[in-house]
Amino acid sequence: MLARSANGLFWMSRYLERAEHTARLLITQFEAMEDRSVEEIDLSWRRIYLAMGRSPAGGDLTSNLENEDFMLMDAYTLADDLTFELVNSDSIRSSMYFARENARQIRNVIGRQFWTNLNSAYLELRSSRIEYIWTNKPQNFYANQENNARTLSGYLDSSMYRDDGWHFLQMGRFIERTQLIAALLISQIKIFSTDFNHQDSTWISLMVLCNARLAYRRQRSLFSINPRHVLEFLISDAAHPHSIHYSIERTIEHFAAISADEERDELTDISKDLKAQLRSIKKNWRSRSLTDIQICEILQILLSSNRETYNDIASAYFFN
Amino acid sequence: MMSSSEPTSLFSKYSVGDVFFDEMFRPDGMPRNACKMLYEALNEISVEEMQTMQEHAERFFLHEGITFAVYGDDGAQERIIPIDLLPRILTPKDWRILDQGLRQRLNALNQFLGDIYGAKKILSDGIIPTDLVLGCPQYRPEMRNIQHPHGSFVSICGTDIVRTFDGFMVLEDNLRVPSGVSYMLANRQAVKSSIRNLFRRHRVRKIEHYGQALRQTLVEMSPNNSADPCVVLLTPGTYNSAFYEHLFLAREMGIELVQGEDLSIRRGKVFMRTTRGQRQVDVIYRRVDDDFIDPLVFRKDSLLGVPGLFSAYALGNVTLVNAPGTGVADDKSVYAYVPEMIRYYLAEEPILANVETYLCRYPEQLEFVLENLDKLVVKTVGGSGGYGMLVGPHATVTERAAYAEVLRENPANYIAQPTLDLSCSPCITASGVAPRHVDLRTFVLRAEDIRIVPGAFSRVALREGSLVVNSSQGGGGKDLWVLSK
Repeated sequence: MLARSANGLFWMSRYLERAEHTARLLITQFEAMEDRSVEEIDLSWRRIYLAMGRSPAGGDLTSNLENEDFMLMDAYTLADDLTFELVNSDSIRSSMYFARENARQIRNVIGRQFWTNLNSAYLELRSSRIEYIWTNKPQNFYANQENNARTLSGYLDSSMYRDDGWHFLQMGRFIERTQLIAALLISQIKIFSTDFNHQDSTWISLMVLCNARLAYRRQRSLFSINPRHVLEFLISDAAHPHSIHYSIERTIEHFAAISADEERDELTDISKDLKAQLRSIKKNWRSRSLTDIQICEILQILLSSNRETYNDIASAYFFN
Repeated sequence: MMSSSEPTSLFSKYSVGDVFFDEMFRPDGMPRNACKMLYEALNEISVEEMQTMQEHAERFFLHEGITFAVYGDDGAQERIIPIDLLPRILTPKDWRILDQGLRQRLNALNQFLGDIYGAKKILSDGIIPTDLVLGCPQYRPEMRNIQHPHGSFVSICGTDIVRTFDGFMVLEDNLRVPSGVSYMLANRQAVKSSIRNLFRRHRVRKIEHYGQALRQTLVEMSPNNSADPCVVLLTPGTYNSAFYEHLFLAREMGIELVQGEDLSIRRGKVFMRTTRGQRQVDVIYRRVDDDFIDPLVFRKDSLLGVPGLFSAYALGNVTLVNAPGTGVADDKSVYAYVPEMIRYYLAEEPILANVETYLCRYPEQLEFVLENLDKLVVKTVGGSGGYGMLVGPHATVTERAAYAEVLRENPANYIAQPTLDLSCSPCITASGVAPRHVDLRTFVLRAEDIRIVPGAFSRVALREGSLVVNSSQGGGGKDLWVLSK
């Protein structure tokens, strides 16, 4: 397929994944604001921004934990930043904007219905205002955004022809997911630490962010949350769609489908790199005696390697 | 007397005059025969209901992203092209005249292009002044002696037709990169879903196969007679006013939509960058103007085209549709000679009349134009989209005086035509249904055969009294129903 179209599908899918992820971050955050301590809420905001590797639009987080009203005001600004700020490439609007811009340029390869739904979702989001969201139930708004992004991905799953375009789209989704989860886990460990006796709620909320609560509950007991077990599940579980293991494995599969009948050295290298990433998490998670710092290092290396993989894929296919 | 809550019928305030041909009504106010059924059905709908349907249609356009950017307009990329839901009807007889006239015209125009880039017989025989053609900025000397499959230099033609009490007339031919066909199809879709029952009751001829017809036309233009050539659509990109149309057509045809950067030239052939390497391209439906297709031959600063594209084309390794240099045949001065071309090449009388045209390059015609500016429409010869035009009767004295100055400075750059009594068609307005001026942009395809889908983009001047229907000047569109019997 046309290299530019493949690039458009890849990035459209990445942005949809990002929009869904940010919406979930905000759902969880607003739920936390209903009954959690001011300290925990503050740390949760920090978890979000650290994972994104950026500061809020106005500068650093400057929560005044002594003053609950001030904290709420801060939350209002942060929610606005994460929802509508176009300069913030992780905001929902920004992600949906770029998903739509990519889709707009490749409308000839995506279904009409998909485009209409994406366009409608974006136009609705664009006409929304934080004032309105704030004074109504914010969780509903963000649940709606998450639902929009999921529905759009689901529409593609059920309607797209399984050719190279489909595989590029899926690679985009799973590479983005790998990076979002790895960054979130690093941020979680740095802020909440697996050793420190934080409330279970911070680890439960992490699972909610990774759509893992139900799956984890079926595998382990939720009555005693063990942060190490949560991390292990989110990193190395092969069956959970929002685990790092699952995401890398799917990336490998879709890459194999695209590169099957080609014999280019750079493609062989990419395949090896992806398999090495998968091996690294399998191997490292056999040992539970790692320190938090070591876990973060492993995840950081994985993150860098995965980012490098994207660059290699782009050179091999999009800008060849 | 109606109470304020009682719905108002659609045509209760509609006035039919005798100055303009009304597409739906006779001068005595009665609906034309072909429009009776539509009229009666519409009369059962209230203004309020129609306005609601109209809002639905506009929302449909917005959500589908059916846009036409107007340069200089804020948020231009998001501007939807206005639609009026009330269809315009053409009888089978009307359409037969148009169909025959358009075929005749396009055949003559293609012969003209083959001739002026070849033997130049029409010039040596003195039918058209040589300097008018060879001095035209759209004449491309680089095109000399280049042959095109089936003699089809123009494979995609958009001819604008107006109607007055005297019948149909050709306002202009668009032979370079005519746009509007996607809006014809979008209007049909919107109308079919909004007033489905009405549509069903009429025997309206189908237009939905346009994409297939276009693809077949492009396939037939393959330089190597391949049954399965690689056909692409070359777009300037997302900021082009007609980008929506480029996407739409690429999707309808199932072909790749490429930009200049996706193409490269190797050993005189055109290749497209794909995920599996380079793929040779045989036919390019280019929606990029001549000036921008190849910086090595035309505008050096162009980033939209492909360096070396023209050489590959001249070598016969790829077909550009439409050919470069076709603009010379839709130059507004050359337009005046199309009836002569038809007589010269086809030995036939023109089926469709031209609008009387004054060429300001001739001093006596310039004098006439300057003396009658208040009655004439003046246009630049190479212009399109309604840019740089003076509508004399609607201009102020100061505007006319300023335009006269410009005209005197470079008279060869202008033509003038009488202000036409463009026909009117009922349209939905804020205050009910009212007449608005309309024209037709028809779409004719030519390769081995000529193909015309029985429909057109019926453009509407939305402002009361306005005669400017161009989409780039804020005009809208309505569906055209060509009846099958």
